[in-house]
Amino acid sequence: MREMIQAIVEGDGDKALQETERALAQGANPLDLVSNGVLAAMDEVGARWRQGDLFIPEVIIAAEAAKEVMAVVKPHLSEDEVPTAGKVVIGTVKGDIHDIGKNIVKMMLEAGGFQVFDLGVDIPPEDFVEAVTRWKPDVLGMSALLTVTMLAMRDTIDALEKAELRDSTKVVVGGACVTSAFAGTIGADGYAADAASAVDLCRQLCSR
Amino acid sequence: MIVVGESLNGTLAGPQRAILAHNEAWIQQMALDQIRCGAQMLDVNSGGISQDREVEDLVWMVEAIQAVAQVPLVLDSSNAKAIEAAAKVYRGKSLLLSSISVERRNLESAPAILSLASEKGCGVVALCIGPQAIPVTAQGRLAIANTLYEMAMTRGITAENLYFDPIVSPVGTQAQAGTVALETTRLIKEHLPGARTIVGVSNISYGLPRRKLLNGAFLAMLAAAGVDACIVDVRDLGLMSILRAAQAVAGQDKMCKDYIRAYRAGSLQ
Repeated sequence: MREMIQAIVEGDGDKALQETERALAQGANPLDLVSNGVLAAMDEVGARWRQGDLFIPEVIIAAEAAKEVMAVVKPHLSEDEVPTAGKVVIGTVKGDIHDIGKNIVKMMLEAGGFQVFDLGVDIPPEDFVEAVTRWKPDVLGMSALLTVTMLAMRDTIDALEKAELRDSTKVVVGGACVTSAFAGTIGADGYAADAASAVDLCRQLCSR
Repeated sequence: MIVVGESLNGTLAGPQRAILAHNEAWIQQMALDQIRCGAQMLDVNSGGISQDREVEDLVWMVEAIQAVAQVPLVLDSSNAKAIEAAAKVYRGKSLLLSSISVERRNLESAPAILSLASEKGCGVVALCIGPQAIPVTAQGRLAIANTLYEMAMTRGITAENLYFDPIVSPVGTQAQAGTVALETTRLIKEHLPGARTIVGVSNISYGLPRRKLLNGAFLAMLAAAGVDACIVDVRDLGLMSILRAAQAVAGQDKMCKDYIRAYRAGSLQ
């Protein structure tokens, strides 16, 4: 397992898969491989990224490796055994088409064991409301890069309230112009400055 | 290549503090520092704080800068009202309005910005972003540039006053980000006669270590490609040295005059 974790952290997808297959062949517990293997690896990736020890391309490659390993392990788990850290609906708000940051958050969440529904970019409040109704996520994540579009986050929260869905989900926000203070004023449940923090934040909110 | 100073931008920590406190002296000093370092134009952006104050902040910044320097400005805002208000108080002719695009939220404001540019006889920055996404390929970006070009021509803008931004994504998230931007500028030159190109350099290195190295390498390539304007941290002596060297090597500095002058001034590093 240590080898598999290391391979994921180093972004060596082939080695990670080999080690996973070997562990499974030797009778390793698949659930253990996920929670103490893949998720532990991504925790390490997140921590090292924040320390400035890993860089974005490396994080992307590691997350891809983690996803591949997950795909191999999943068939060995029964439906209700598949560990999910929580359900997250994510999207860039209306008027805004920036998606680099949102995509990194999505990737990190998936690698961290979350089930992510990505709505894409330029998403109007009513579409967020529809997605929350449909998927009943634990967390709704919104991204905005511009001062002119960040107010759409407030509009979305208002729309959730109107639809009486605000209490059914936690709302987290992020993006270049967004601050923790702004998240507070619009009544969001949390703010994350980067993708690694977003994963931690979602974990916290889901464990409550 | 026109060198545009990037450092008066409300999304950066220092300027943001100065804008919040309306610290005129700080803004003026930053303007003068950038001019001293070789900036021929200054980008001015009051975004990143709050929409409520973006318009008045941009006007305030323009007035503060113009009180100490007659430098051409790039009025840079995602809010057309801020651009219009700032253009009103701006004295002087050389000016760039930034920006127009075919993104949904910008389509409405594009005609107003183009009319303003036509009336003032000034330049406009046009972003190669599609309605829903940044096209992945250079051809896709050229198609967007074509649409914007037509739109501008029908509103009386001359090609020379159109500055296309090919859009630079971080090379750390998209390996072809640099080459696609370069190829886009080449296609624009080839297919849209007379049109100019402008490139923001720093985004290329986002998320990577020693960003200055990547910015410098990219800037040299942009110079070689004949890009008309670049938005950079002009206070970075190393970066500006690379630009001078690249321009000499690319045959854009007759008899290496600027390069030698920069050397004598002690500003080559």
